[in-house]
Amino acid sequence: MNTETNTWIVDQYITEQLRIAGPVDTDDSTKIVAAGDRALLVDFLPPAEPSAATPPRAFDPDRHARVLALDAAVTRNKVAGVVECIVAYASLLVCYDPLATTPEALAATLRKLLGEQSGAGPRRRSWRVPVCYGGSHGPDLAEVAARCGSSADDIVVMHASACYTVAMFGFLPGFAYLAGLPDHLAVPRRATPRTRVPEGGIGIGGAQTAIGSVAGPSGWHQIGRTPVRTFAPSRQPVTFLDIGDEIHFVAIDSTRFALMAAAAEHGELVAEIIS
Amino acid sequence: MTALEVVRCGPLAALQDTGRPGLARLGIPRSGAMDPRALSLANALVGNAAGEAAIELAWSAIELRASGGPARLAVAGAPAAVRVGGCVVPHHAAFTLEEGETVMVARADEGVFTMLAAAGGFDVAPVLASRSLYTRGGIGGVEGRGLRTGDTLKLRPADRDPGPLLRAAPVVIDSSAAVLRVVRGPEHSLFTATAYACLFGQTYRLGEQSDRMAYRLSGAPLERERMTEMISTGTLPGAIQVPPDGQPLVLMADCQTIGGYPRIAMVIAVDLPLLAQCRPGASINFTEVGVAEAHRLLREAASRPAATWTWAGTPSAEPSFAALAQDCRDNTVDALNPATWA
Repeated sequence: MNTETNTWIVDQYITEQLRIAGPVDTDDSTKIVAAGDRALLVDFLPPAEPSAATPPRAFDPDRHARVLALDAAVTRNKVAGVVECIVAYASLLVCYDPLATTPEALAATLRKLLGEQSGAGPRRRSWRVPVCYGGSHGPDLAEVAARCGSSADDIVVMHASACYTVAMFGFLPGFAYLAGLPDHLAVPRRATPRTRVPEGGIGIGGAQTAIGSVAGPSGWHQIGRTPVRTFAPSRQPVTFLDIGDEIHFVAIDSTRFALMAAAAEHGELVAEIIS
Repeated sequence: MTALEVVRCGPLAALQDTGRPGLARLGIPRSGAMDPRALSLANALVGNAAGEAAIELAWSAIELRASGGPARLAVAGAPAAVRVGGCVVPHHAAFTLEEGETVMVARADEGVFTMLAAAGGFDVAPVLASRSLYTRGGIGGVEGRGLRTGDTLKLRPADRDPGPLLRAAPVVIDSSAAVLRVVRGPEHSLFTATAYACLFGQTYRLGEQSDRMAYRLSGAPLERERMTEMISTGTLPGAIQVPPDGQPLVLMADCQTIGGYPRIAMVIAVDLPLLAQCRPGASINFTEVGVAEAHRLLREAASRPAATWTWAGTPSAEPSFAALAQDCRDNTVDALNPATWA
């Protein structure tokens, strides 16, 4: 197929975009597109001309704050037909019931809410989360240290002294993606994923860090483990963290880990609320 | 209290209802019946609310015995031989299992997911507002797992008069081929125009590595315009994700809530059960429709209540199975082996 034909096909698609894909509504900072027949995706766009000083990156606190503000506005206004919203780093997936609303009406409502967004987001809490770094709980700590050119102790100090924000949940129930990993600690994912990482794994994958929830496969480097269960079906609430919460890690030794893990087993939170 | 005892059961039998919408923000998938049409039909036949939990058999057989009283049951979805004693129970029909009698549901002849509903519903505590098993999270089902031989499933009393025996018109299930209608995906522009055309111009083969989380397809690889990393976004069942190897996979009921692979297209809600019922090796084709058309089809399906596909009637042989149940007790008939069912 020659280039000319390709261009023609692309033009055809653009022409048919509205007919086929439903509402597409773009302004300078947001784009609302159909994500199938039961959801609209609100994409928060990066600044039009990223300057050299602020290269585009996965986590942008400004965009994330706007995602949370829209999410809160949709909840507060009990928008008709909305089933649920899924918060991500720079987008909000608004799932709707097609029998209760139309994508056109929903897109118009979202656009209106975007226009009147105030900074008043939900109440954020701050948590102290214990982590046992290295050893059998963090089998990849030495490798991360080697890749970063630092000692293992320095990696622990750097990881534990940063302040993180719960950016989103995903992958597994209660799996909390955290924003705020110091740039120095960013290491590419493992070449071969581990088939099973136990619950509570603290991992680094690229520029991201997270608190693992239930046991599962992972391609991230495991540098530690928390006795805190971010997801416990028998506990109320099942997930205690909320999107937007602040996390401060505190290093603990393996004896303390064992004690706290036993308490967590009996339904205790073992994470401490700071504010 | 009436209960169903699991006399024998295949490996993939579990309770499923309409799942847990509303919790995806916490990373908790929707789950629920892979074929929601079969769930609502089985429930309608026994007089339950459409979203009541039923036993989902994933190409698995099961043998159940009623204890403490009679149970009114119905089987829908992937057609499977159903017997009470030596008596064949028609598919898509309600029947009564008397106390002490045993029902056997064989592995499906066509399709994958067979649903067995019981009047009143299963008396199992819901977890996060649903009885659906979500294996990875260890929630729902029976104590966070699927059914096992020896389980006793208590039934809640049926609060509705089941009315006359009901039968429903058979729903054609084809496990070897499906033509799925899709709407364009939010990241379709990351693919070359050739790749987008290729999605509709070829027949995919459904892979062996398919489960309740995703169905994997194989075909000519779909090429991206450029290999830029995408920022992960929320995602839903029906999304056709394309990982770097270009082989698409379709997210299903237990899928992750956040995804980082571009979605070239999304299977529309009414067609997802058709894919669910396909077996590995099936031929899958895609055709494009607009969102408005997808919604029209959904409204049409929703306005067709189960009752209009059912009719009151009496099966030619009123199920009175006690005399023939001896076969099962003598083990001359193996519920897990249809060959012994002759």
